[in-house]
Amino acid sequence: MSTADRVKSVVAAVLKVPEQSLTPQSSPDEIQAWDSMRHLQIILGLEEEFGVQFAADEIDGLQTINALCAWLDEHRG
Amino acid sequence: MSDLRSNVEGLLAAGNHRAARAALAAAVLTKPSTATCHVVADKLTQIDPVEAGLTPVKVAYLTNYTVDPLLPLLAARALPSGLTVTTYAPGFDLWMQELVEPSSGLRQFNPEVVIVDLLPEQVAQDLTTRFLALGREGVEQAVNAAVSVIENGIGALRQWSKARLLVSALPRPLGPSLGIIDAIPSGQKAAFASINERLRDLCQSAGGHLVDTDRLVAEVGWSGWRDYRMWSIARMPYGNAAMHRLADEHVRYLRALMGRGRKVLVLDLDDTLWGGVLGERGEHAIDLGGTHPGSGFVDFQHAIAELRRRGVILALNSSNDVDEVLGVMRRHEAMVLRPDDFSAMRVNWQDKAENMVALADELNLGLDSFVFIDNSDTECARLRDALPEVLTCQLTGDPSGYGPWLRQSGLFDSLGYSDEDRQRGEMYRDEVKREQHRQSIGSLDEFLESLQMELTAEHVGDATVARAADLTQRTNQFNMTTERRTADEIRGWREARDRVALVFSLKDRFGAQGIIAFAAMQITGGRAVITDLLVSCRVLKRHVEDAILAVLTEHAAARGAEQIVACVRPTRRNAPFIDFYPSRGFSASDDAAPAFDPTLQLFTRRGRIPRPKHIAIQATEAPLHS
Repeated sequence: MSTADRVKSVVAAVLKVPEQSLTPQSSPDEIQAWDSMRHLQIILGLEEEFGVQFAADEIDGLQTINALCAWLDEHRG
Repeated sequence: MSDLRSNVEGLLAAGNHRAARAALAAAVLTKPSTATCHVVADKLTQIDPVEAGLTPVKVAYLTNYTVDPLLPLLAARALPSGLTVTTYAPGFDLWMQELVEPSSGLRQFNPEVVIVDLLPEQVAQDLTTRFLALGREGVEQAVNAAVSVIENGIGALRQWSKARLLVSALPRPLGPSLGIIDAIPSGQKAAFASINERLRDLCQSAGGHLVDTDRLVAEVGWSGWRDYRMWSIARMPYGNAAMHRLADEHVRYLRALMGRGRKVLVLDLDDTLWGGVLGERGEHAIDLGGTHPGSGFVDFQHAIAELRRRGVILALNSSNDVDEVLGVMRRHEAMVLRPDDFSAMRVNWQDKAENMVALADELNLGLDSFVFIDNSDTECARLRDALPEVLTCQLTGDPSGYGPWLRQSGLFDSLGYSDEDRQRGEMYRDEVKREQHRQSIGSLDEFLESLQMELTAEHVGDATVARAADLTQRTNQFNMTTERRTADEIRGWREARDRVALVFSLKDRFGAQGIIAFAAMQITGGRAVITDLLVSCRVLKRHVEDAILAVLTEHAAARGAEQIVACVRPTRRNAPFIDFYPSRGFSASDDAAPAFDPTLQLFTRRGRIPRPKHIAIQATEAPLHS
């Protein structure tokens, strides 16, 4: 699976939405369920899925599927 | 994950809730990741518990941190145990307020289980952050203060709720102020130990259980236990691994508390109890002995043998030649488990799912009390699909990890440990002999006569109260009201003049079966209400329940009560016995006194019921003879 697919799978699970409804631009602005608590749960889910850790001050800035994918591609071994 | 979701949606659309349950449970067992747990927790809310054979339970978390990420993990991890959990958590740090306020969300939710998990740096802040400033007296005061916070909470809860209670022990600090000498008697370790000792006493008197947090921290490791980053951003204290482990620990309690504990361990043989295929390699070439990989299987067998001593019934379900298997079990010098350790076996070339049903029949236990361990992908998938009630676990990886995995799995955790536990395996083996004997005798009457049964009725005493409580926790089939009682609750009845609480033990020519039943009555104003009547399923169909009912009516008569009222709370699992009272001359009672729980059905009759023949009844107290 590509990074994008794996990210979508985690985001969809936490937000309780179908994976097909997510696009690279999906963000809290367009998905109501994507609140700050869910955002942190997405981060926890991604950390577990990819075996990485986001820095505390990065978490808030990564607000789209695209941004999350880019960060993950850059940071995982 | 998308596959899981659409698969389950399809099954639900077709009305197949049992298969939907099986698919979700299999996903949790295969890969219990955070994402899987979120999907499972979500879909679980659409499953009909009755159709799917799930036991609903309402759980409230009282915490001083943000507990939201833990909730879906708990719901998902509880599913393979046959539980469907609904959770409630008061808003951030509002737990005490919601305990006290009559109209709070917590009180409206009316939890069946309450989990109190407070962080040490909140509830014992001084002991955590400025320990060395406290001095000896200051430490004592801080210990008292921490205990009182929890004590007050429990006190407030008990004003309005009989919910089962779990309280987390406070873990000792990771970086103690005294560093390498912290283990001295005046260190932080000792201060936290003293808090936890008092919490344990507190739990005991409030009918709760202390969760041993230090053991969980040791398993996960401190670095994975706390996530200081998430704590500082969002008041979420736990790392991912810690949340999964906490959820799992809480599920272990929920299982035991809700009568969903597993009782039977069914094992495969090849590549499970030993390495390699016996039929191909022969007795002398299987991997089993002092060196790798055989040593892993020896260790695994030790872990299984210890479970047997803990009260777990062992059985075999394997595709093999039975004579060959018995030969290895009797002769192989590295075998830890011997034929006598197994209460039942199906070693043949039949389908394993069919074998499993036959084992449940033979042992007279529900499939939902079974755990099956096998190494094969296909067998495990087949069993999970065919019999979702059975918890099927697949062995993976190196055999040296099997024993450690089983010891840490908590699959068979229960809330007590008694003589019955130690002897259970043997009792069930006698049971199989009894069954063979029955088949050799033509009529049921002759069989019952030949058993030479002796039933002893006794008031619950210090030595038996734990077993009585344990029976109320474990018995699901012949259990007229399915009231789960704690030892303290039953102990309290001994003081009450209007209460009668009896334990019954049985023996016959095949051996002693220990305490097999518990019953309680409340006798007031010429009327005896049977509030509890439960009989272990392994002695049913022998008129033991009739003998017990006879004793109860005799007891009522001796106390001047002519009218007997019997309570029944129908559940999915006691359905086969729901007609017990009506078939014994009771009729439905319109005496629906408001004091009675509306979920109870009442039945009534007058006078004594004669003792059944074939059972000699010994009663230790005079009133029982009158």
